[in-house]
Amino acid sequence: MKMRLLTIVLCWQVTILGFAQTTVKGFVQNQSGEAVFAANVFIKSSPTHGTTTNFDGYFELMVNNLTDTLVVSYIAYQRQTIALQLVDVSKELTVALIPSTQLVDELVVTASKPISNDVAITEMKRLEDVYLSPVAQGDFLKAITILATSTNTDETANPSLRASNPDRSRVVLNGVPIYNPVRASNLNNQGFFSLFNTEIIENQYVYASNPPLTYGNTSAGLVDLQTQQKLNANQLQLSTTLASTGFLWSQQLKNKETFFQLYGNHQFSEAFVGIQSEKLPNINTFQTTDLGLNFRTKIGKNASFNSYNYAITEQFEGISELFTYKGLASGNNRRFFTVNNYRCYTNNGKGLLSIDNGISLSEPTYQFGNTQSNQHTTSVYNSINYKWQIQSNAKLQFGITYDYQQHSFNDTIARYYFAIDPTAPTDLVSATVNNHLLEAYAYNKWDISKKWMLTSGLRTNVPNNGQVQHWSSQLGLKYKLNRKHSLLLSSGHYHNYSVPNFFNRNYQLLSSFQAALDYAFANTSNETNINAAIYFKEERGQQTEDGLFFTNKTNTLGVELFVEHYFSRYFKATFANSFIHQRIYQNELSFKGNYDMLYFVKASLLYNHPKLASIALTYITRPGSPYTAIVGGVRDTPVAAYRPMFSTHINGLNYRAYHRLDISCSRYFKLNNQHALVAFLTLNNVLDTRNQQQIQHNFNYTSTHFDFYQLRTLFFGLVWEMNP
Amino acid sequence: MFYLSLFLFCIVACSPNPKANANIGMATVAYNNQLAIDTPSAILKGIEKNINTAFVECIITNNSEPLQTLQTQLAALYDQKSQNIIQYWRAYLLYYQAIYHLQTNENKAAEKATDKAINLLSDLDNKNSEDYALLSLLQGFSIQFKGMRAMFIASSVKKNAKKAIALDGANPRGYFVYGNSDFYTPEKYGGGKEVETYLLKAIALPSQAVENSYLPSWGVEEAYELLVRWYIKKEDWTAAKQYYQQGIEAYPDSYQLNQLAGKLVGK
Repeated sequence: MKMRLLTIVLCWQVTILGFAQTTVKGFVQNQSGEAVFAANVFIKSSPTHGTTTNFDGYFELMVNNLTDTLVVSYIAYQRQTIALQLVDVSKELTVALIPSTQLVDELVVTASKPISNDVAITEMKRLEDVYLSPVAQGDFLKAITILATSTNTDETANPSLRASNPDRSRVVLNGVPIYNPVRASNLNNQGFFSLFNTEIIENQYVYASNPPLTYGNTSAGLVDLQTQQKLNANQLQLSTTLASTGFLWSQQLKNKETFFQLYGNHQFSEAFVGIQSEKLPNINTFQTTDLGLNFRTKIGKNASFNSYNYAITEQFEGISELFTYKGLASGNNRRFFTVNNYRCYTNNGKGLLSIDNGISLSEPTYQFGNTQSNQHTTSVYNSINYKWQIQSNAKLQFGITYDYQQHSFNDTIARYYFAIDPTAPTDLVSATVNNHLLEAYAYNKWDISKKWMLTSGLRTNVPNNGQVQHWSSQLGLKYKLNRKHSLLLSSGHYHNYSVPNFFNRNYQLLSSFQAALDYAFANTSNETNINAAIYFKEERGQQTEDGLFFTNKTNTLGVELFVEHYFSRYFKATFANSFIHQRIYQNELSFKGNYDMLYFVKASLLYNHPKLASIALTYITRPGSPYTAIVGGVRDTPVAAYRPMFSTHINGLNYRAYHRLDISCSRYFKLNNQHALVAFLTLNNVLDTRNQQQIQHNFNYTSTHFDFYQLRTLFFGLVWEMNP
Repeated sequence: MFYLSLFLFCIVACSPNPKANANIGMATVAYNNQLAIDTPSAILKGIEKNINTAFVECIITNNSEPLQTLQTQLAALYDQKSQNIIQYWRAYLLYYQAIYHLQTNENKAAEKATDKAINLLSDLDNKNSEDYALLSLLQGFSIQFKGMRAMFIASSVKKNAKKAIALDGANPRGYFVYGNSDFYTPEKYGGGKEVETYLLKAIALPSQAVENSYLPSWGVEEAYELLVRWYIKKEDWTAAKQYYQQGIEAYPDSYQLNQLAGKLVGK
């Protein structure tokens, strides 16, 4: 009886306790201890019976049943549950919300970008910066030439950045350097296009100076190309132009991240040269055939493998002139390269392990006068890198790179450099040189605050085969005034080895000290973008100027401005200008540098209406390049040729000012849901300006004439696209 | 036509909806009876509905003041309390200001308001699922103003929608904006393949996991409407009718859904 009475009393007390109205008070904070506003606070058994926190993070909730569970939730935070029986509800509760697991995809996207992307002067994307570029003609490397940072004076796609010799800069594809990245580079110096199919490439980062030390062997700038990581749609393209036919087949395999892209082109000169032979006086024929395959696959959830393979054969024949000899020049090249990348995300996307491999083989030959060159080059590149997000605001990347190059020369060269006639005496040169460049690096990026960011890098080689140990180092400080304005102050000391060539068969160690202040303005609605910079470089190391003179130091001071403005929905105008003061040094003597220019203006106007057409005008002007005069010739009797007498004032004269106006237009025709046609036409050098490229002389140097850059030429074609 | 539809939809959205009112009523009882609502936060209570109401008032009176007044209040509130949620609603309100400007043929002002809204959201630190969903919606909306720049923006629209989904798989707005983006992406660029999947997911989710009048609830009704339009486009009349029926049951006063009825008659 007593027991029954006790049970009834206890039940009554529990019931009273359970149904007593109690006000639960509390404070909700995030991981930083800050108040969370509008967090949901409710009773588990009755989600509609709840409240929200106020601006200061506080809440009060009337609770009927203290045996229930309190739930606190908010967007992007893990739901917190509190058994009310286990807490003292008479006191204020403090609930700390824990962020939901960070977005893995976002981390992967962030991680897949280069650690140095914030200090890239320009990031170029396929659609907006290449296909819609007035100068790119659909080529990534050519797209750079519209920027103020590009100082190409030779109309090729091989990038020259901020007045440095292209040999000092590097082009890397998926982290692997591609030496000499242009096709037909021997075609009278007209390396029209890069080796990279634009459909394969997704992004391009341009480091005009102070190249990030995640990459080595560059003492000027860097162009970092990255292949597509996703293929959004299958596509077949067939193209035919005045000088080529080609195809591209893009096919998903399992999903967007596993796919292949196969392409091939055959270039021929008959029609292109045939209809405008008077405008191409130095080109007889050319022919290239290439085949490329890019394959990418995702391995499990966190890894991927990409393999890009490319082969090309090139033949050309034209007229060349050197000193007093003018005659047929011909060349061939067979080239193959493969770039393979393995990427693996670790530690929930906070780490990225990358292993890169590249192999390149080429066999260029060249014949001109009494000169014959047969080369064989082999490059092997391997690297292992790890990028680690140490904290939310700090990243570290470190790695080891091995860059092996071998150049074999079997050349017949003129015994007297000025006697090129086929009957003039020659010497045989047979040599094989190689260079093992084994380096280690570390690169750090630290977001000090929302406005300030610091980057630093250190790189050194492991000396072998007589190399000296060199240390490259750099610092970058970026200040984001607001979302529109930013400043980047960067400086560093860099090293690279020159690529051996016909004139200089050695790997020369080159170095530079660089300092640059870059300003960027980006209108948030993308209407106007401005980039301005002032930079200084001191470049050291022996380099040849036009194969004639050696210099051992170059000092460059440059100021540049680039403005891009969109207006009236369908128009875009760009303007770029550079002032470059450059001196080259031969020991104690100094002369005007090849890039010394008071102005280098590039202006473009683009009209692009998706339903009508795209029309672009591009105008480039600059002073003529400097050259060294030949003041006369002295007959060298044993050789039966005149030896040139060079002016002692190197680069004392300038060619005439350079002007070039190009027009290009294209139109997209949608035939139906699966088929489309793109027609394009380009008229280069519309005004047919005879821009002097190279001074030439008669047999005894008593009269002169000039070779010219590309005259007015027409190019057109059709691309048929099918989306199966 | 799209904006006219959107305008009319908004009018309807603000008109009495028994089911919605029932929900709001329940929430009102639950939340309003509680103690700790301070003055500054009062402006955010039922903010989505208030913005819709202000928008309709603007249209009826042909005067932007109601939205502008609310915008000023939110800006002043943000000066006091720098909370992301305030910026979210400022951006949402700017979206409606942009639609209003389109109605009054002030395209430049509409573009400016959209850009400002995008900037507000882009500037937020630690964006959450709702921020990304609205950002994606706004970026998609801005494409009409951008001429040749449209294609550059399109990729961001899907990226941000995916982030919204990845951060909160139960947020129907993430699925809606992704489906919406895929709907308008040309097939040539891989569009149209995921519309159905994402919109079906959007309509399967509650507009809010826990009712909260400070937080967004848009997206599900819009997903129904777009899904029906998708099936009409594909001439899948059975599915179109099925989801029209479901949608109209959930949102009987939806102007946009009702507009589709005529296209389904006799199919």
